[in-house]
Amino acid sequence: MTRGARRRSPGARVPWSSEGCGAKRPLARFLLWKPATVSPTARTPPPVLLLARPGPERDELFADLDRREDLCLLRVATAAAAARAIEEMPVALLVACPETPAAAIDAALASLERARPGTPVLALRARRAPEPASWKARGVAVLRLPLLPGVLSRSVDVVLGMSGARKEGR
Amino acid sequence: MTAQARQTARRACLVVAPGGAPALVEALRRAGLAPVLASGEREGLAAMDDGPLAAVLVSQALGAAAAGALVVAAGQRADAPAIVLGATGSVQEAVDAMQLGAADYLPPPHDPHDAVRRVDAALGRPSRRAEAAPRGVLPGLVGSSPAMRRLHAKIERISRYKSNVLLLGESGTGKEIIARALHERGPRRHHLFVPVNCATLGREILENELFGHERGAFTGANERKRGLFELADGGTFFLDEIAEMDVSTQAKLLRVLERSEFRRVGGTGKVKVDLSIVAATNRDLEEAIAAGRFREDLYYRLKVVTLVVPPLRERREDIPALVDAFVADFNRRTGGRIAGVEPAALRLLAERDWPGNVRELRNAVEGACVLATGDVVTVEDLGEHGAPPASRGRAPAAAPRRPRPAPPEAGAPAAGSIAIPVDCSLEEAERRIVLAALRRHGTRARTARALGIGLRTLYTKLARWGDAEDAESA
Repeated sequence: MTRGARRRSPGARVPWSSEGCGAKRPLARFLLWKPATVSPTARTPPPVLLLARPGPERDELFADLDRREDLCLLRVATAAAAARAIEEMPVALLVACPETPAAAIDAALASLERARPGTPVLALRARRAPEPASWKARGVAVLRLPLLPGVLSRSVDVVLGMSGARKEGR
Repeated sequence: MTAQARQTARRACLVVAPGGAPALVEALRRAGLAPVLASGEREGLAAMDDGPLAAVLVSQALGAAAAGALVVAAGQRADAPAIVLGATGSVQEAVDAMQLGAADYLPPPHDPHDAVRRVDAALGRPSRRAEAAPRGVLPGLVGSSPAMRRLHAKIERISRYKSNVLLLGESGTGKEIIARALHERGPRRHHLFVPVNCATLGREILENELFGHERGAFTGANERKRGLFELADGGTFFLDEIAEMDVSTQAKLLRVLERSEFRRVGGTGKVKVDLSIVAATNRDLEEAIAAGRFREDLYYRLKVVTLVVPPLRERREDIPALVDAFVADFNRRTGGRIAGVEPAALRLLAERDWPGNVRELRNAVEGACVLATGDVVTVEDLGEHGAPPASRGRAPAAAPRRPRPAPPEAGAPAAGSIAIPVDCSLEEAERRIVLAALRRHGTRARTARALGIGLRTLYTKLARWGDAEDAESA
């Protein structure tokens, strides 16, 4: 499906629908009805996609973001899952954890460039970890570990503010 | 500070921009703020030293290095939120500003009203210092005695540099608090402070924790693990009870200190790190060197700067201030409403020797606050700490936080002894003896010495019996 089709009508392709499984009816119909009952001025939290394998260290790293109610966090473990999420959700920002291989970030970047060009990417990397030269040109911002409390959360705010997603999402 | 000066400090807003940013300055003035102008790094840094500031706006047009230095200085010197006025508007520029500690980033072109809005938002937020250290104050460093004034002055001087520091002092004097203070005031404050107690871990586990391991290094090493030294890269590593570290681990630590590199367990590649090491002990290291338990070369590497933390009995005049701080801390943490300590109780607290030092005093005050029936702590609330010092002989240990096991059936034992039933198991007898010794000697180190066992053995026993909390409080 093209991006134009997705924008044309929310009913044309519903996120979390069972379309891919062959059925025609959306799995969660109430999602379709919800916009009609909600004030048109209400703002939804911007979806932020976390590309991170599960683990206590990562949970701690993203604890700041997890606690926020003004963001819609979606966590995926693999590049394939990220690609699927990018296809189906209006992702406003992709955050990759330090252990994510550069190849997986490249794959997610390709998905973004295909489906949602201009979406910012924030790659967390170890202090001295190398980064591919191509990232800079593709707009990937690198945030180096260790992070002081609040830095990741503030960085997400600033990046969303620059892309306009935060203002729209509020 | 006068009320007028405080008001000015609340409104003063430093703008460091090459062209002076007249539109921005005008917007800040109209918003009721008092803009202070600087056109370069040196001028901006000087303005931060001139007086308190509410916020600092830094233009990236100064250059990345100068702007970065100003953002860091805004946090360190002025404790004011920094807002970066971007030059390129790239996401990386914004993220770099956040990493340095900026509160916000304004991409070009800089709308003056948007800038004012962001200043307002930043002023409504807790400062970065408050975020990094939510407790705000360091209760263990309270005091204005000559000994504490000297200590404060030394901390201020030492914290300017990335030197290794050796902290010497009795248990409970607040060595870790001082290590944290050195880190939080120093150039490494934007990185991590990682504390490790060398007495609580066996040699292999300690090495694994410090250096990490490669996949397959030993049975069960299913994946590579980064060590705490790597985690602390750029920051400060606090090695508590360094005298308890095994000699072979000391050799590896020496390599970290000399070459700033190490190898993970089972690994061949070198890992480079940039760290400051703060080590602490309550032992006589020179005696340990003579006994062959501590490496002399490591000792000289660590004691680049040595700080001796005075015991509480040498600064009794600080006890009232410490008690006030601990009562306030208790109220803050528990929602309590203790107004203070009555003069008679305070006098008794000030007369004691406190072998467990500030930690013991803190526990005694907290125990008294819990037991207080009114809103003022009385002599009765102090329990065993309320007895006149002369009647007790040696001061006992800190008040226990939770009910102790019932005393032996043989009735109240004589001072300095305990009664153990004949049919008591060896394990139970050992437990009673160790806990009684812990109560008597006040600190784990003294208890271990008195019992003739290693400190690590004592920790292991306490952990096995589930008395770790008591051990902490002792």
